[in-house]
Amino acid sequence: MSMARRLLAKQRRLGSGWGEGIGLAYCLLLALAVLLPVVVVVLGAFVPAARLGLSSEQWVEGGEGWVSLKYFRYVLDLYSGPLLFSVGLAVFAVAGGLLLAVPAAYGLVRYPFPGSKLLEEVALLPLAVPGIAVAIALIQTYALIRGEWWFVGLGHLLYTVPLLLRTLLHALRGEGFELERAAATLGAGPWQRFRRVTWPRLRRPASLGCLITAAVSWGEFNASFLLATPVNQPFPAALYATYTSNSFAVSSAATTIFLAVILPLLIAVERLGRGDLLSMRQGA
Amino acid sequence: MGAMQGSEGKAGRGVEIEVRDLTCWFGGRGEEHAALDGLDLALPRGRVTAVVGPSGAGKSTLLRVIAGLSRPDRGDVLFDGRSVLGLAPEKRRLGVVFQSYALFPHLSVADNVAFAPRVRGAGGGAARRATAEILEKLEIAGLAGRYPHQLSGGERQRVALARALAADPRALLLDEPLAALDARLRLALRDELAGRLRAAGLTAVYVTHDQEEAMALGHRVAVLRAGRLEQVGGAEELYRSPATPFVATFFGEASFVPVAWDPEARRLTGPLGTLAVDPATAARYDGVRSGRLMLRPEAFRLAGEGTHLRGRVREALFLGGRRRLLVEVEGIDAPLKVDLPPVPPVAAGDLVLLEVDLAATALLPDSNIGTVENVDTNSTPSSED
Repeated sequence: MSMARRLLAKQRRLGSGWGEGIGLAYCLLLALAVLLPVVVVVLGAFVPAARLGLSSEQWVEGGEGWVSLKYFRYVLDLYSGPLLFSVGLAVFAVAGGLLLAVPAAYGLVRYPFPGSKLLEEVALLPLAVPGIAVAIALIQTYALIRGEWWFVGLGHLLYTVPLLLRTLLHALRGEGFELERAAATLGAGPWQRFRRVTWPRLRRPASLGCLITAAVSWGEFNASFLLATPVNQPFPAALYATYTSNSFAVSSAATTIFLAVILPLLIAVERLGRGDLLSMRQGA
Repeated sequence: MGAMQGSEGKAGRGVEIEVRDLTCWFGGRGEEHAALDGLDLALPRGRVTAVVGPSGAGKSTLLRVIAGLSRPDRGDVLFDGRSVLGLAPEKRRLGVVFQSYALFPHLSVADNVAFAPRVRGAGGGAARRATAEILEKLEIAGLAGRYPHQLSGGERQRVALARALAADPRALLLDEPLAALDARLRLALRDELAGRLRAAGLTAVYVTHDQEEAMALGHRVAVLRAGRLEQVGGAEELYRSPATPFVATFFGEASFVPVAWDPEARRLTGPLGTLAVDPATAARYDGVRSGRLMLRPEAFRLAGEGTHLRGRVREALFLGGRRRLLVEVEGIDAPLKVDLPPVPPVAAGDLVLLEVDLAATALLPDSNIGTVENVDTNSTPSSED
């Protein structure tokens, strides 16, 4: 009896071991397939082309060792404008998005009116429309202001406001009215209710929405490509120019810079989504 | 019964609240129904008025309208004789304890309690002192640093009361504050809450669907049904002299027998036979000529030989300290509900002679009868009423 039990336990251990092993191998393979291009690009950015057996590099001098930052220096010199413009766009998208989406979400949820549901659907519509279509529509409608820097920002807002709006609508609907009612009976006026009760509860979803917004704005290509002018060129558009007209090493350095910004944002989104980043002491 | 009774007549704190012709319509077009239907009710200063009724009676709506959280379609709300309809909830200076407690989850217990003093502009020191004082008074000072999700149901209820009292309110409004608790805790907290409300000495409105809770907590009990006031009075008055069959069955069990009342001869006649009524009971029948006699189950006693009520036991249930009988009496449609001591034993099929203690009866006039067959006191509570 005890022998049979031991065998069963061993079999179970073996079975579990095999299962785990296969699962691990599958995951590693998948991770490798996804990460390999990233690894190749990052390697290409740090290791001089000659060391990799590539001879396409001709105009970036210096740094003949195994690891070099010369391509980064080159990209930063060449594309500092687009880089700063993209950072500015992300800030504009987040700030503008918050300014527009927070009151809109609050109004739609707390003070619904006939047609507010339809308005909500319309406000979320840009999420379902391809970026190129949005860009062309903007260009055709506002041709006269196309050269302005904030015209590109407008294109980004069309994406980011619905994203923030959706996150905030969801959070506000889950919240209910009761806390605000309680605050009102305790003497808090509308602004105090928002500042002391609603906003602290919205901070977390709003932070998540801001991170997503920043990531989307930083990586947005379709609309940016069409709305960009030579003076107002976002980094993804510059990245495209690098791929079409520059070497593998320079493109890799530009891509690595792009990744260095977007990966922490995505990790933060993931962690905040799980509730690890911001410690909310209440049982939210 | 009422732990808070007997203090009637003492001067209390707070405002006197009065609602006049209060009407609130709810629902979509074509499906509207009145949550409150021309309600008139006075809530005296310093007294706890328990508002009780089944689901959909309009209890919580009444509370929300008084608090300023809902606007009535018609009628007025007066504090000390002055209309407050134009006042926003934050200007009414009331303390509200919600059914869900609605404690701010992102604030500690101390910050929850300090919320009202702070938003009303009290300095940090003053708010802290007021908070400490009230936490001490409610014996929850040890919870000051905790967050709502770290509290038990009973602790949340105390914190919610502390938060409402810290607002230095002119009246306290409590919306089924014990409904979320389990039965044992509810019973324990009910008595504690009764003591605390009595100590506060404030005008208070206590909404509940539980008649025992209403009787235990309210100096006065207002019974609402379908947005209208059925009766208001002391708990004992409602139990002994209900105005309608609904109130009679809401506050206990009862049987109803049609009778005619002759005040001059002080005689009741009907299927029960002819019953002589003592002067004290006769005074309670004043103004009624015919109607239904409400008989509480405890109004019956087993009688010896003589001209007493004769009936046959249809069912006999042993309920520990008493025996519940359903007794069929000739001329009375529904069997009478009768409670007798468990000894001597009585079984189904037995013939019994019953004596009626008229002190445990009430005479309901015909004009108040209409719905005797439709009385439903088994509705479940709802926060949406």
